[in-house]
Parts: sequence; C-alpha cells; structure tokens
Amino acid sequence: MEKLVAKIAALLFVLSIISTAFFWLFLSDRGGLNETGEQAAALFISENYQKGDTVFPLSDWDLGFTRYLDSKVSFLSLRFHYYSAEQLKNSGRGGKRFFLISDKKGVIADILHSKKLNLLKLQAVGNGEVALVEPEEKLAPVLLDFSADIMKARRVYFSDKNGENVRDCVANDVWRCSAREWNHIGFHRAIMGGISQDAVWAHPLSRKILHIVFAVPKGAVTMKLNTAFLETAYRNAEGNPIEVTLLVDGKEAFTYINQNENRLFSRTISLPLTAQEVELQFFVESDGARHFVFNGFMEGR
Amino acid sequence: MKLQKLDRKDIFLLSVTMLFIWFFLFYSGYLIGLVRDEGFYGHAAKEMARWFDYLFSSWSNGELFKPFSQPVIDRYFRYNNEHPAVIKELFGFSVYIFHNKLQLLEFIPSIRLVAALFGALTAGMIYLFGRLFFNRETAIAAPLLFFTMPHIFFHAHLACFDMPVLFFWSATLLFYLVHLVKRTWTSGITPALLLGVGLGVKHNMFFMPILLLLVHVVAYGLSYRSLQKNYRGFKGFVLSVPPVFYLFVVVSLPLYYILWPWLWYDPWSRFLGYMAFHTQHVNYTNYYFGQELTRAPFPFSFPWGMTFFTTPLPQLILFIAGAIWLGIKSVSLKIKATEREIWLQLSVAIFFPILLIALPSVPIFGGIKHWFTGYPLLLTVGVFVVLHGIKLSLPKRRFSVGLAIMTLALVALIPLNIKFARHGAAFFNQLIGGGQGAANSEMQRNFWGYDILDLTEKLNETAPKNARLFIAGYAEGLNMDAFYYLRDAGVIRRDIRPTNNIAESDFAFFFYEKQNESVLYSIFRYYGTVKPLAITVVDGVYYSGLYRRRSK
Repeated sequence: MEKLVAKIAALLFVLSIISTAFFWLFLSDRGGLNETGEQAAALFISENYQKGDTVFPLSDWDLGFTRYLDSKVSFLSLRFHYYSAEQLKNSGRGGKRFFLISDKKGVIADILHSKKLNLLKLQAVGNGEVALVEPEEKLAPVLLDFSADIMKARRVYFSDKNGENVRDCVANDVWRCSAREWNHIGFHRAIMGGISQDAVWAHPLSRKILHIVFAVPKGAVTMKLNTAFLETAYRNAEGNPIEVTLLVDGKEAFTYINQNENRLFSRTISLPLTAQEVELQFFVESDGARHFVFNGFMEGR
Repeated sequence: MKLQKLDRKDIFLLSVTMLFIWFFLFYSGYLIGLVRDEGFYGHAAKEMARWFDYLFSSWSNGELFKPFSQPVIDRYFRYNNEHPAVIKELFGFSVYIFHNKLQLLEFIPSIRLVAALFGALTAGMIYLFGRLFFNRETAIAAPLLFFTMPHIFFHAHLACFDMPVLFFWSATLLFYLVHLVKRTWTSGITPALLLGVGLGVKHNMFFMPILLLLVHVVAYGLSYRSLQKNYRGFKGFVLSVPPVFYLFVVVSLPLYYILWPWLWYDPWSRFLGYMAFHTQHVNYTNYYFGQELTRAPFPFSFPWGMTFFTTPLPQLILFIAGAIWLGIKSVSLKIKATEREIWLQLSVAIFFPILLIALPSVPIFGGIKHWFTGYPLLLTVGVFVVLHGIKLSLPKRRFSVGLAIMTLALVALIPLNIKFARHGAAFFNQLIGGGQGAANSEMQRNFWGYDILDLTEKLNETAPKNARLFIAGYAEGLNMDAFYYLRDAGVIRRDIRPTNNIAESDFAFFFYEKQNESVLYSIFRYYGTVKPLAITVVDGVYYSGLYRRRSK
C-alpha cells in the first residue's frame, strides 16, 4: 500500500511540475483586456462619457484600462452580474447610460437581452469589446432622491426618544452633527442588496433618534425607502438593530426593525395628495459600529 | 524505531541551508510592503527597545531590580498586552542593538531581522526532521520547497508572530517525537524549553501539550493488550507517560511566566484578560467562492479549500502524499506501538490547526497563516514519500534522479514566485485558475494593506508638498504606525501626511478587498474621477491603486 502511494505520488508530482511550469509561463494571464484593448476601451469611454454615466467592467478585476481614462470619467461600478434588469432600469433613470467592457468578443450581445438593455454603440478593442448601452425602458427622473438630494433636507437633527435635547446638524458638504468625522449625515456609495448604490450615510447615536425631514415635492405620489447595514456593522453579531419609522405630516406611516444582518429592507407607500413633509426616524440602543445607510425617492405618476 | 544519525556532512548542510534561507529572506525584505499588524508590533518593538535601554542604564547605575518593578513593567509592557512578549522582546532587542546602538540597520530591517532568523530556524528544523526521521535527500529538498510557496515566502518576511509560532509548534512536536523514541529525561528538556518559549510567542501553543497527552492516551489505549504487565492499570499508565509532561509543568510554565513580565503583577486577571481577547476575537470578513463570511457558522471547507487553492501544485501533491502516508502509518498494525504513536502524534498535531479553524463556530482570523503551523512537517513527509516513490520506480538510478526532480520542481516554481514576490498573500494555484480564476470565483483577493510598493514611487513623484494621503486604516489598509515607519524609511516622502478621512485627502490608497468596494466608490465620489495614478497588477488582476483628487 505504502509503495503504491509513493509511486502514485511520485508520478503526480512530476505531472504537477510540468503543469505548474506550463500554467505560470503561458496560461496564467490568459484573460483580461490586452494593452491595446485597454487603451482603445479607455479612449472610447473618454470620448463618449457624459456626467451620470456608469462604467461597468464585466470582470471586476480587470481594471487596467482605468489608467488610460480621461480624468472626467467619474463613476465606475463593479459587480455588474449582480444587477438585475430591474436594478439597471432604476440605475438608468433620467437618461443615464452604461459602458460595458468585456475581454472577449461577442459577450455583450448576449448580455443585452438578459439585462434588457439597448445597444447605442459597440466597438471592438484589442482582444475584447466595449459598448455604450441604456435600459430598454426609460424611467423619468424622480422628484426627490434621498441620496442625491440629501442636502435639500429641511432639517436634520438628533433628539432623545421623548423629543428633548434636540441637537441640529449643520449643512456643509454633508450634515455635520459633531466634531467626530463619522457623525455626519451625507452622500455615500454603499453596497446595498449586493450591488453598489447611491445612499446616505446615517450612523445613529446611542439612544437618540435621528430625524431627517424632507419637504414633499409637488406631484409626488409614491415614496420608496431602502435601509441597510454595511458589512462592518452586520459582521458584529452582537450589534443592535435599528428601528426605522416614517412620519408623513407628523403621523406614523410605518415602522420596522432593520435587523443586524446582510439584507436590504424596503418599504414603498403611497403619499396622500395633501402631504407636505416626510420625516425619517432612526433609533438604536447602542451605536457601536452601526454603519447604517438608506436611500430611496419620491416620484410622481 | 531508530532515528537517523547526523554526521559532519549534515551539520554542514544544515548550516548552509539555514544561512541561505536567512540571507534569502533578509535581503529580499524590500520586496514586501509593511502589513498593518507590523505597525502594531513595530510600536511594541520600540517600547521594548526603550525598556532594554532602561534595563541596561539601570544596571550600569547599580539598580539591578528596578527595571523589573511593577511601575516599569506596566509602563513598557502594557502596549499590545493581548499577545505574549517573547517575539516583541526579540524585535525590541534587535532594534535596541542594531538600530539604536550600532546604527547598522534601519528600523524596519531591524525588526524583520528577527523574522528572517525564525525563517532560518524553521529551515533548520525542517532539515533536522527530514534527516532524523527519513533521509538526507528529504532533508535537503524540503526546506527549499517550503520557502518557495508564495504565502510562506510572504509571511516569512513579516515582523509578526505567525512564522515564529509555526517554528515553535513544529519544533516542539519534532523534539517531542525524538523524546518518544529516546524516552529519557534529557531528551525531554528541549521540547519543554521550546514549549515554554513558544507559549510566550502565541496562545496557539497551549493546545500542544493537551494534544500530545490526548494522543498518548489514545495510543496507550490502542496498544493496551500488547503492553507488559507493569504498564497496565492506573500505575502503569502513569509510568507510560513520557517524562516530558512533567517537564512541561516544571520547566515550560515557569519559563512562560518569566518571559512575559506583564503577568508578574496581578497575574490572574491579566492572564484572563489575555484569554478573553482571543476567545472573543472578532471575525475578519473573508470572501470564499462569492460567499461573504462575516458571521458564524462558517463553512467547514474554508481552510481546506483555501489550502487546496493557495498551495502551489507540487507542494499540494506533497501535502496530500504526506497526509495519506501518515494516515496509513498511524493505523498500521505492522509497526511497533511507539512508532505508531509517533505517526499518529504527527498527524494530529499537523491537522489540528486546520481542523480548529474549520469548526463552523471559530472565527476566521485571517488567511492561511492561522493554520499553516502544520505545513512544514507535512511537506517534509510528502517529500520523503515522493522521493521514495521515485526510488521505487527507478531503482537503479536512485539518489540523483530524486534530487534532479526536486530541482526541476524548484525551477518550475520560479515563474510564479517572481510574479507573486510582492503579492504573496494573493497567490492562488492553477487548480482555481491562478489570480484571475480566484478573482472570477470571488475569493478574497488580498490581505492586510501591504501592497503599496508599486504605488509609492508615483506618489512621491507627484504629490505636492504636505499632501494628505488617505491610508484606508479602517478598511484593512495601513495603520498610522505602519505609515510612519514607511515614511521614516523613505518609502513614502517625509512631508506627506496620513489621514483616514477621504474627504480631506488629496491622494488615496485603495486595497482591493471585496467587502471594501464602497471605499473605492467613496474615492471616486470625493475625487471626481475613477482614473488611478498607479495600480498594482499581477496577471492582469487589480490588487490596489493610488488615486489623486481631480483638480477643479
């Protein structure tokens, strides 16, 4: 038995030497855009890029082309394959477009159908291809986007649960709530529900309610709210959940507990025609590493 | 079972191997960036160097005991008291001698000198194991194959505890096995000393005597029927216990206590605090086949899968061959009970670290460094098995063919070691498709924020005076101490200032880890561009980047 094992091991060892030399000399860098492709893809994107567009490399690790981009290209998102057609449609609100980059030719054509995208331009680049696409169904821009319009909030403040000890946050580049850097309410790009989304950083304080008040834009009939913990928060099993409440003109519309887990919590409500103001409230017993974000919007018909 | 004898040739080969590995590691230190933990241990080393300074100046003033008084011990040993002091004392002593006094070495090389020393000791230990238990060919080939694994090459450079504890784990086991063969009190002294010092390196070592005793009990039970009369019953069992277990109590434990002065005062509460830190250790998020491992239960396959895919294929074959061979030997009825106990002991001690991390409730503390303590001896057994197989297959040519094949293996390992020389913690083998395949499978791509050496040249050449650099301290990036050590070493320009606030920074490092993608998005938002100044890439895979705020 030992002899047989030794002989087989010797044979496998010799094969592993051949396989190792061959793989690391000839195969390990087989994927990815080549240098020519990187430069051509970057040129294509730089020439066609408009503010609000998103660059999606189909391989998350193949970012060499970014070195050659024009510095005006301001957003790139990873995890394209995590996005559903619906999520892409929402990401493309207001005429936003996407650049797709592949290290293989013919791949993008297959994606268009499954992700419900229209092809605007396609170009072969080196060993791959780059395309400019947009969602098949175009949605109008929302009337108020909580993340993009966070600085349009009427008021942001903390208070005790009984409404006392009010402390206002001050509008700057973000809503600054104290000298501590993390204690602010402001735009953040976060992984929510597995994909990268515009969001609002809203780390709460222990036993305080964070109030964020928005005026309801004229014509708004629906409101959507998404809340989530970031990875640094939910990996701590002992971390507290966050109590989320929405008030419409001072009356509670809904309340729920955002559990301490890797999950997106969502609520959609119809707004009364007379609604003037919505107030988001977030409460936590203990704020240790409660890295919490939300996003959402109010839209018309 | 008889141990092979060492002769002059072995002493020469052993010395050459150790020296070669020491030079190889120490003089290639410039390839590896400083990992965040080295920031903490560097800080501790400076504290220790101050203590040595205080010690020697007190002694020169005739104050022999003052450096050991509670206020002094508390002052110098408080920092990083969640880890025992032996390695930090060695770092500190090296800093005190080679950096502060003799000024022969910069600060970082002075702490990494100790790491290279443990690399050399590990090489020597592997040689000894190969020679004593197998043959000279095994002893020659195994150390070289061990250090040509990119993860090992990487960790062997770091001024951390992982390679030292690997050494103490394996060396204690090795000398315990020697003791099992000899069964003398004198042969028990070495493993007892190694355990004592090893306990002062890292808490892993507490498992060692427990495992040794448990395996002894099992081996005793299995061979009960064939035991002589005087070895039966309770008295017989006591008689069967190898003498080293008594030395573990009277030598190892006191030595552990002596080497960690922090425990001298208020020992019980300090020891409990130390244990509490490790029993309640946080989990470090890891990506494993697209799964975000943030909380227990963790997949049992994690450390096995990581070992399978992060070990170069030739060494993986050696591991598997070694494991099968040990399995056969551990249950073989054809060999004597003592020999069977030796192989069983070896198997259990090699696989225990990986089994422990595989338990779904045990947090993932990091990468393979937390279970690679069993690697060197397993690899050595594998080298023996393969050499044996070659001899059996080619009986007339023998020795030269075996070593020639081992040499070929080392040559085949050169390309991958060159590619990953600066990114050892990011290595994945061809079974998963190398770096690209691992990234496609959404494995953890890299660890510990060390990967800046390909970025700093651009930073230094581009940054305006007093520029602020985001170091991603909260996102597995550099810590402040590591930044300052790199700045002092001239790796980062002296006027560049660190910050952990992207909003106020002009330049930013980003270390790709899937769970930190939101940091990359924050950089894009604050800087107004996705264009990096420089990136680090191996086989086309992005590992880290340097970004600059776009001028308005």
